Amino acid sequence: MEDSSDGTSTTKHKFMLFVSGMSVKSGHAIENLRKICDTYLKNNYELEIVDISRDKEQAIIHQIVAIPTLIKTYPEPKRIILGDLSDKEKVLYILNLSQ
Amino acid sequence: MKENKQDIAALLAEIESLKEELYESNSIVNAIKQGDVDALVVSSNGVPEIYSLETADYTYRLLIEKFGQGALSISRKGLILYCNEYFSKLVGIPSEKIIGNYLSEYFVSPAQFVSIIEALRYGITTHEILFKSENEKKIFPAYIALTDLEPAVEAIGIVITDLTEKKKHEEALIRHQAELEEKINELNKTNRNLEEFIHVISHDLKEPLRKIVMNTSRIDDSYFKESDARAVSVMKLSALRLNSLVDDLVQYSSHTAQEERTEINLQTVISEVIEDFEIVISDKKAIIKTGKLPVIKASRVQMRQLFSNLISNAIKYSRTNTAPIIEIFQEENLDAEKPNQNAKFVKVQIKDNGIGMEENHLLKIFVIFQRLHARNEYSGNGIGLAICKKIMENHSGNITVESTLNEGTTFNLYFPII
Amino acid sequence: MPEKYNLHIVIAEDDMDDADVITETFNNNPSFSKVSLVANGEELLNYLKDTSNENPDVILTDINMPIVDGIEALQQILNTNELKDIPCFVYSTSINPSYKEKCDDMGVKAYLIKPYSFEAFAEIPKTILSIIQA
Repeated sequence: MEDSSDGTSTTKHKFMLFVSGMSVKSGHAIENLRKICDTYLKNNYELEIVDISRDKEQAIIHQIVAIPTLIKTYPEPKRIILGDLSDKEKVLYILNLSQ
Repeated sequence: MKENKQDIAALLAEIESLKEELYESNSIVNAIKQGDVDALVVSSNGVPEIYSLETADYTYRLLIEKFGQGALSISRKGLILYCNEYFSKLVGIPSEKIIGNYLSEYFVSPAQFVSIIEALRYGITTHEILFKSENEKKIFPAYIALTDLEPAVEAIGIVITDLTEKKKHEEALIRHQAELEEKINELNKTNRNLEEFIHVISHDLKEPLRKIVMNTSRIDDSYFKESDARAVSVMKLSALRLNSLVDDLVQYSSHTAQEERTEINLQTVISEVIEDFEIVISDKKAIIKTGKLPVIKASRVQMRQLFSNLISNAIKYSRTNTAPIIEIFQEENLDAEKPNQNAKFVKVQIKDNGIGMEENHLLKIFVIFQRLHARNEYSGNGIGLAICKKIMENHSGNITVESTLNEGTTFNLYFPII
Repeated sequence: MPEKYNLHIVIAEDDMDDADVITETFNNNPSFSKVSLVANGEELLNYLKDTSNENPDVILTDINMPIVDGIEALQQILNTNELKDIPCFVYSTSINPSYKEKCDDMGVKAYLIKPYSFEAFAEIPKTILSIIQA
């Protein structure tokens, strides 16, 4: 798999996290993502959380299939992760962030 | 050859890209298969619908079930479809027994149900209702908030807040208020009785005193023995003194907090007092300067008395061979000098250049009949400042004093700003 | 306008000793030709209402008297058309600020204090004269 081109934590990362209301996994996803970002990206990130139970348009635009879904929009390439992000190693690997 | 190389490179790149796409798709499918997600988004006619899996709304449901308010879901006709733990506790009946009954059965006035539903149409969603448990063992007041869940769900959600504690506090407050008013009335009555009593007594005391004074003066003592003449003189002076004490007592008791309050311009009051003291002011060559003075809500009679006493003292207790200079002015608004009060006060100062007082005497002077000097040095019974203090207290204010021996004294008056 | 030197005064006083002194004082003053004495507020009102009596030129009344006191009597007098123009004076042993205010409000000409010497008593008719002539 191709690495993220500038896969270092010094580049500003942009994420969109799609959740639904108060679903249990949505809550976990939010927590876990914050933890990872704060630890490995230290304020060098932009996170947009979209609740598709309120904003269905976004679900269509981003072709969301299931909840929770995390999309890393920057840096390229775009990456998608489903689930509550509790598997930290897997998440870091996919986002190409060093431990 | 070169072309082949390029083709191969292109193919390899495409394979890489396809691999990535495949990986991503597999991730998604696996995530779903493994239960990493708790909701699916499925399009029906281009509109995405969210299908929650069982656990997705768990948090919401748990919240409603467990939180500290009563929650119900009813049909439009009032049939209870769901009730939470708290409501069940409130009415003292298990949830299973409540669901399936009509909400109106738990109202003390069942007819209220219809008006509540009607009111929803006009956007009125909150009401105060008296609830009862089935067998009327328990009755409690509650605040209810309705939410019409249509068209999404054919039901009405209701949140119920128990007002029992609040009502208890309200009742206690009203009771205390009533008690307080009663106490105040009693106090006023006692004050009035005291006033009347003192007035009557004083008048009756003064009548014979006056006659003693008048008639002892008439005695021609030119042919008396010295001791007899002295005796008559002492009698007369004593009668005069007794008379003056009675006057002071009447004055002291006659000022109550109940006297009528009007807007008083202190400048006017002080000018009137200065007029009263015209003679002694010119005798002693006293100078009275007034600065900015406030308009306050007070009893005119009492204010007159207050400044009369203070100015009279300032003139009386002046230094020998030094003309008394008295300044009366308002200090800027300040926060409470009295501890434990949040009210703001207006401060008026009366400053003189008289004989002053020692530090340890300062508190004594406000005590009735307390004097700092012998009777032959300065006249008076020692009631003037006690009256001043009472007047300030009647107005919910305060009076304090600062002084330096042989330099002068400053009295501070604090009037609350209402 | 009352004639200056032939004044008729009605005095209401319940105390016998004071009554002696006050009537003697007014009798000794040349401006007053007639001094009538009544013992309390009720008698004062009866005297004034009695049409066989001429209206006096001045009324002087004590405050504390039995049956009807000075203040009550004055309230009636100063509310009666035929009597309200007669100058009224009040004298008393006690200085009561709220009584004084009441008197001022009613239109009493002066609130005098009963003196502590015989000489001072003589000032009373003089004070009254100077006020009604002002």
